[in-house]
Amino acid sequence: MVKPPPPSSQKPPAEVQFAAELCALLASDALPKPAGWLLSPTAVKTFILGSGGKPLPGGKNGPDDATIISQKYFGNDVLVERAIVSLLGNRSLLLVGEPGTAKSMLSELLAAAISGDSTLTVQGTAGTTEDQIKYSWNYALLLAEGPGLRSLVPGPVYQGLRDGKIVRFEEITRCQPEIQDALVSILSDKHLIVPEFKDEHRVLQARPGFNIIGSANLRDRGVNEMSSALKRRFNFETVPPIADKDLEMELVRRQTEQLLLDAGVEMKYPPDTLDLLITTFQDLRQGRTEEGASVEKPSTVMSTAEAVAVSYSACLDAHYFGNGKVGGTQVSRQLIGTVFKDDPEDAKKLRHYLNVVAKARSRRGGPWKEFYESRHLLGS
Amino acid sequence: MIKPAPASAAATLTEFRAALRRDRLLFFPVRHHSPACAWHLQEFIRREKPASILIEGPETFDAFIPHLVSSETTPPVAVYAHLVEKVKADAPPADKNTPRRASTKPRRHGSFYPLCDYSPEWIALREGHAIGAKLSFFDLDHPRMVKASQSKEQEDSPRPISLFDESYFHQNDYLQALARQRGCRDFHELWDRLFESAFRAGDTENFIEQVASYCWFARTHTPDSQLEKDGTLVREFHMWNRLQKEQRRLKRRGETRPLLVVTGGFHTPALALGWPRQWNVNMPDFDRRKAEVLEAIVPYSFEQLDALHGYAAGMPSPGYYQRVWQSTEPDTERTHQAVAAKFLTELPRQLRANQTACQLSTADSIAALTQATLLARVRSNPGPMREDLLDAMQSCFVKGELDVEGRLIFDLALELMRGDGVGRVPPDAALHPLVSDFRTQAETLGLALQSSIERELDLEIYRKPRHQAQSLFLHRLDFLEVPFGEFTSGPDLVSGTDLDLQREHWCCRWSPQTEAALIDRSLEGTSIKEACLYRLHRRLAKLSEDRSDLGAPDAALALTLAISLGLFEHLDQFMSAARDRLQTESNFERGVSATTQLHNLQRFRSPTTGDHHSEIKGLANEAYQRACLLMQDIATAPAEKHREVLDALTQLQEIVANDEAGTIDASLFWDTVKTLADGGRAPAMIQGGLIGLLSTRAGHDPDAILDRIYEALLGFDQQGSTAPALLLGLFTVCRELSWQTPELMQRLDTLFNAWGEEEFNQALPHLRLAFAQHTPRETDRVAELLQKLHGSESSIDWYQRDHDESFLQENTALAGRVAAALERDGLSHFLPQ
Repeated sequence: MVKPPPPSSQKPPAEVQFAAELCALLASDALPKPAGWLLSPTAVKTFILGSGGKPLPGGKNGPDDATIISQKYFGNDVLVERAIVSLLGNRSLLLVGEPGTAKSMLSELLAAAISGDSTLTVQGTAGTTEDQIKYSWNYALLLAEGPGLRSLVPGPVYQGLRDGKIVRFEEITRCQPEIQDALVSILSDKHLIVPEFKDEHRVLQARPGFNIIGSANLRDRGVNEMSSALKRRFNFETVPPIADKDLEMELVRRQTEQLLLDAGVEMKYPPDTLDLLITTFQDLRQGRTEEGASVEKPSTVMSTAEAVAVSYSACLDAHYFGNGKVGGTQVSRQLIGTVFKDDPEDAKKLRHYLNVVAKARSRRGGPWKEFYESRHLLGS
Repeated sequence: MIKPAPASAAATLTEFRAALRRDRLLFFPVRHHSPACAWHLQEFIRREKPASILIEGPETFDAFIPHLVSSETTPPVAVYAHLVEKVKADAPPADKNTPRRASTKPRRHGSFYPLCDYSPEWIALREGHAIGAKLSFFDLDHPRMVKASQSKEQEDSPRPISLFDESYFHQNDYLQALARQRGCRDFHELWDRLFESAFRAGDTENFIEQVASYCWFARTHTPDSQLEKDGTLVREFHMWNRLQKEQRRLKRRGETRPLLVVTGGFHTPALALGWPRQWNVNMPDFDRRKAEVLEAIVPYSFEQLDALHGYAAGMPSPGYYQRVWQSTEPDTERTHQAVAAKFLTELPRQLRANQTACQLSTADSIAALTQATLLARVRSNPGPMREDLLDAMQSCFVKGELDVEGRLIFDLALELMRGDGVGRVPPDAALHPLVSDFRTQAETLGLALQSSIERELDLEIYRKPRHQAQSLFLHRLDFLEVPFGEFTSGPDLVSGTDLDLQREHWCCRWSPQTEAALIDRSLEGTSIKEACLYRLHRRLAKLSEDRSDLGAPDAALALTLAISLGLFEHLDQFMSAARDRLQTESNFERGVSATTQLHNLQRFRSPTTGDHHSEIKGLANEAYQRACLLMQDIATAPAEKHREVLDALTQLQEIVANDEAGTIDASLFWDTVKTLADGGRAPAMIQGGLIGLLSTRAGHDPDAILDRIYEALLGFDQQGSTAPALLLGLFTVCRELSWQTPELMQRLDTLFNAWGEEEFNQALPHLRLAFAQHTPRETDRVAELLQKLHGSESSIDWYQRDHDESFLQENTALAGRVAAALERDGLSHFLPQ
């Protein structure tokens, strides 16, 4: 069921990237599999959380090719367990949380492990229409032959129902409420009606294995509220941001270096500047400083993804406009542009943070001193 | 040497498992409050019919066995033991750093031995009684237990500890690793999966062996030094000796039925393998004359049983396990299924009854039960267990943010799973530890109880430790609303008054109501200190309720109370509550009020604050910073709040001015004031206040201030000139400006002259208020200044002399009629007193 890898691409889907691991799991999975599932729930969990360094027999190259299953999601193990079980039941799964908490990655991994295919994806936007979700028509064929399976262009949900696969619906709350509600009947009746057909194809019954993984940001401004009818059909799972400072520092460092490499920029990233950046992000995200003092949380999202963005642009700033050394000034400059976008309240909160927390830390010198001294950038 | 070095752990484990069942000696290792252990033990006793049962628990508790097996007793109940050590006044301090006072203070140790329906110890007592076995507790008595444990001896703890200490399991490296490997969150989940799944299921012999092995690993992964330090070895040595004795006794009597030993599984390896035989243990001696010992059987509650509710012993969610225990289903799968179904339907029903914002339907209950069952299956549990249930609630019930809607649901879920039952003890067994604590303390402090004559106390609280102790005792009683002492004068940290006084005055009188009130409070704790703590905890709980409109000042007040009631061991919680509330405080006036409270705490430290002073200082500083942040929003305060904002500004300025030690960053305040004043967006009255504040700052430029005022005087809004409101704000904060700066008066004079009659009348109320705050002497000075401005040389004649007697009489009569009319209309309070 696992597809062969296509020619190299910029970002292959999870089932291609981790094909060897899926093969190994498939070969060693002796537990009962739910109808329509590629793997047993336990094997799906192992795929996401790793085999703890233990090699499993059977990889891409036959039974002798022992493969270690890598850990792909770092964080709450029980959350993964609950998510898998939600997909087993009657309800669908909605991953909620702040942006940049690896919700999409988690949904991709789940789809890859359960259906062997993570590409049945609807990307929710303000302009998403119902036919992008369900199906549309090849109008030339429609005019020539009338409605039929040949002229129907299946959307991700149609394909998911037909083939018994997991469908991913990203950023579901970005869609108009009436578009979101198109899912209500599909999720409760588990079938899709194509009124244009008059024959046996009129009702498309869901094959076992079909389900939907949605993702939504609770803190994103400008989103549409979900109707309670739709909410009832989902189990909600909140994906938390990374709480461990060292882990977050490592992730940000690695991703920034990768981005710099891709951009062809060669520079050293001083650890104390990275520490300043992550400390600031964690302080503002938790509303509490390392020392235990409380600070005001800004309304903007202080996610790991934003930290990477700030870190990357601070490096570019230093590379192109500075002396090539990233310090507190660059971080502060990018923090204002990248994170603190339009809310004047947030600027006030950042100013307070600089005046109180950064001021105290500026006595240590180094990037904190530069960071504090750049507070004039915020205006008065 | 503490235990024989095993050739290999597995070999000795086999040896140990064989030793569990020897010739007429049976060991049953248990976890306290475990339904599975209780059920298997019940089966075991019914089958083996032991002649005698030895149960872990202080041997002096034997006296309560008749009460415990009595049909009048309903669990949960507890045996309460307490010990007050009278430390000799001349005892040398342990080291030079210890203050002398600490060595003379009596040390108090309270412990509970809680029993509920599904406690294996309870089953051993009840079932043993039913088959006529001899029942005895065989652990060290409570005073010697306290003596033997060095770690517990250090502090005088107001909260009694449980005798069922499970920290060995929580902190055990081996079990933690095992839990991680099995994908369990903690030790409770691991235990549930491994053992509670065998409730009403499986073979009892096998169950005993499994529990024994589990405990064996916990035991062999605990360092001996720790066991020695906390007195475990001494206790086991004693239990082992008692066990030998009982075996000999049974042998002498030619008894053929076995002896059963029921202890926490942690102790079973030592007892079954006879490790204590090789130990050299110093039994602590205990002089009954130097201590006061009290033991009593008291009703207990599920709330106290709950490990998640701040009582660090036993299982979490006792109400849940009670349901499991009471279920009539025949096997474990159906039991867990039925209990899960019950909770999952009850929770939505309760939410509907509470009319909370979050409502759940029957469909949600069905989905959650399916989810719980599937989770249980994935985790290989026989049916949905406690953690599966909680996970299912999270997946299917919480549709919003975890810490908002999720908290609402989880608080209720944990409350339901906690249960609210209270036990009952036979009437002849009741005794009130709180009353006894009161009597002991009053006697020690020399506060007479023999008569009900009122007595006055004049306490030098900063100089005499005895007076301090008396003051603390009286404050605590006062807080508990126990009628005994009445505070007549002295520094009051709570209201922030008379803080510079050095003495306290109290009127004390004992009455029967004193003890009656104490009996009423007996559910709140077993000592006065504990009851105070309980009450304050209730306040904290209220603070954290979602709908509460309490803010930072209330949290600061709770902290102040904790300090003035001497609850220093628990200060951290109050600190963090105050910190949390400060963080979410959005109102400037309340922020300042909390700051004032905390700064008072910092400046007028209670004689006993001691070590916590620097933490309080940090918190006070944090409050100050928060207040400065909130100050940025005062420009948007509604008109009716302007007065309060001004008062708060003055208070904050006083804090800055009084900070001689330089603990806070004054520039933060002044910069904010200046930014706000420069911004000029504040309403006139607040703007006046801000300018007034700037004029009090050391080193300010008087001309610049005047420029600011002149500029602001030109302001207008829909109602006309804003100058009167500006002056009101200005003089509220800084009256001196009116007589110290003739230029200002001149400018005002010109301004008022330029106004027409109507304009002036409109401004009059504000102007009156602005100048009414001056003292008579200050008013005179302003008047003299104005007189000089107008060039009049002669002094002002303050009296009107051109009225005759009849004028006075007429007006007096008129005033009388007005007063009568107002009185008729019920408005007599309009008249000046």
